[in-house]
Amino acid sequence: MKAAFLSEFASVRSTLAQMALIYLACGIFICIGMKSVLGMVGAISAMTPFFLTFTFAGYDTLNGWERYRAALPLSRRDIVLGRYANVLACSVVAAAASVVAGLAIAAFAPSLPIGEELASNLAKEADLALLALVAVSALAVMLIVTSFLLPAVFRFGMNKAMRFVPIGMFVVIMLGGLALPNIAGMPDVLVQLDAWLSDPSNMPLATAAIAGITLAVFAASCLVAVRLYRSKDL
Amino acid sequence: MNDLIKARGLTKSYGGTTVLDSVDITVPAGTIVGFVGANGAGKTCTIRALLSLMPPDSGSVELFGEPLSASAGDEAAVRAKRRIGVVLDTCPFIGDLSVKTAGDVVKAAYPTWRADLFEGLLRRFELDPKRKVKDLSRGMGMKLQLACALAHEPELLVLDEATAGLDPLARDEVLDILRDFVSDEAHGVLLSSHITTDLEKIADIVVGIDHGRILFDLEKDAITDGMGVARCRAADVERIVSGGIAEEGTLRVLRHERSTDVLVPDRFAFARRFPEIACDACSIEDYLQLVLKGEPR
Repeated sequence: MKAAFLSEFASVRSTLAQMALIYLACGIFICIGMKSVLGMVGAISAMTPFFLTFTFAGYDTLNGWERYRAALPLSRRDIVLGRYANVLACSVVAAAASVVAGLAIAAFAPSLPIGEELASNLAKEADLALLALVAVSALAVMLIVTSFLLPAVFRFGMNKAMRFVPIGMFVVIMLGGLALPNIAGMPDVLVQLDAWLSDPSNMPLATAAIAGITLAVFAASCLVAVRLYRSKDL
Repeated sequence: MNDLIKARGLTKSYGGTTVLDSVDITVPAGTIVGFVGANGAGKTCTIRALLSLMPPDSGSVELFGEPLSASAGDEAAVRAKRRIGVVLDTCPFIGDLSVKTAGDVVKAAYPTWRADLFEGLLRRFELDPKRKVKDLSRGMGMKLQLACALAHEPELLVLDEATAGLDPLARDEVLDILRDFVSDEAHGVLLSSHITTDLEKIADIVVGIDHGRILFDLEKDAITDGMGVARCRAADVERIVSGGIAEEGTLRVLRHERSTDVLVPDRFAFARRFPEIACDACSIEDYLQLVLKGEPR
């Protein structure tokens, strides 16, 4: 798996540098425009899984790269694991970097020549637990979307996956939305959950729970992708 | 002699279409096997089956004496592929990568990768490591693939239409590299091509395929040194057929508008028997044409 991970990583290494520059520009724009570091942390954390998924999927369709890669001494399982590991690792690193950047911006805002109102708004968000929750939540949402997308991309390719996965997800979300209120006791559970999340002392546990659930979904998606990709003719 | 590739009875169908029909192919060590056929004949499908890119419906593949199968697991295929260098018909690397980074992507997959050898090959092929893949010509892209295929010191090279679209100078350069490679008796090459002149220059064995079925599997010299194509009139055909120069059913007759070609198994015996009929040496293309389109007599 290490070989597949390193091979895949080498293919996007230069793209990651471009991505960092894009994030820098977006970060400055969001911090000034929204007068908040939370928006920046959320945006950067959310962008990375999609950015990498589309980059990798795009590469697969270029010049027969997918077939060539499968001709290298990498098993199908390792190719899939390598991609999931790359998406996860790069996304976690980007989210962590955004949290560190958010804390740094909030800490140094009062001493920057950016106006008193903006500086005080940014400074009051110097809260590691809150920034971490935002980063993990944003990352979690996009990783779960990616969990639906990646197996389809592996099996059917980018074009078909982009055609059918959004429809499938829309149907699942709509059905879930319709079903949830009808499950006995669910409205009460949601109200209690909201109250629990509103307590700042529960934030670390909430962050860990979101991360755990997301990782479980991501891992299940990876297993499905391995099964689907194993039988694909290349 | 060890067989680097030994495939038996490879069969693959999609719906009602059979793309491989009981294909047998062998690549012994120390030889270059030319794999010839028209576009869509089944060359690439065979190579895909050999490299575990497309599991066949039936049949067996052995690479370096080790069987590959679903039951053997992925590890057997990975072990075998570490000893193989692959060159495909188009440069498969991502266009935005530099030549050096393309090497890094491949390097990660091969434990035996030699960075010094790769750099030496880039210098030999005059490839600038900083140049983007998308800026390479077709010939340069092919050389980059060859550098990647050779840098882990493989024992077997599998090339799928690698010389198609190259200018004659670049083609000859690629063929020289293959000759060098196979000068080591432990090495072997499977070279699929529809450019039969390339195979005439370097192949030891020629395997022909059409509609997914193997048509012939012969030593190249048996075709180009022994066989001949008699260029005759239609009226001469019966005389040749009944002339006792070949067993019944082994001659191939191809009628053109103004002449008729007859494939004869021994052109020297033919020239002695029919000195008045011109008989040319048989090229691989002649042989393929006559086997494919000729009427057996």
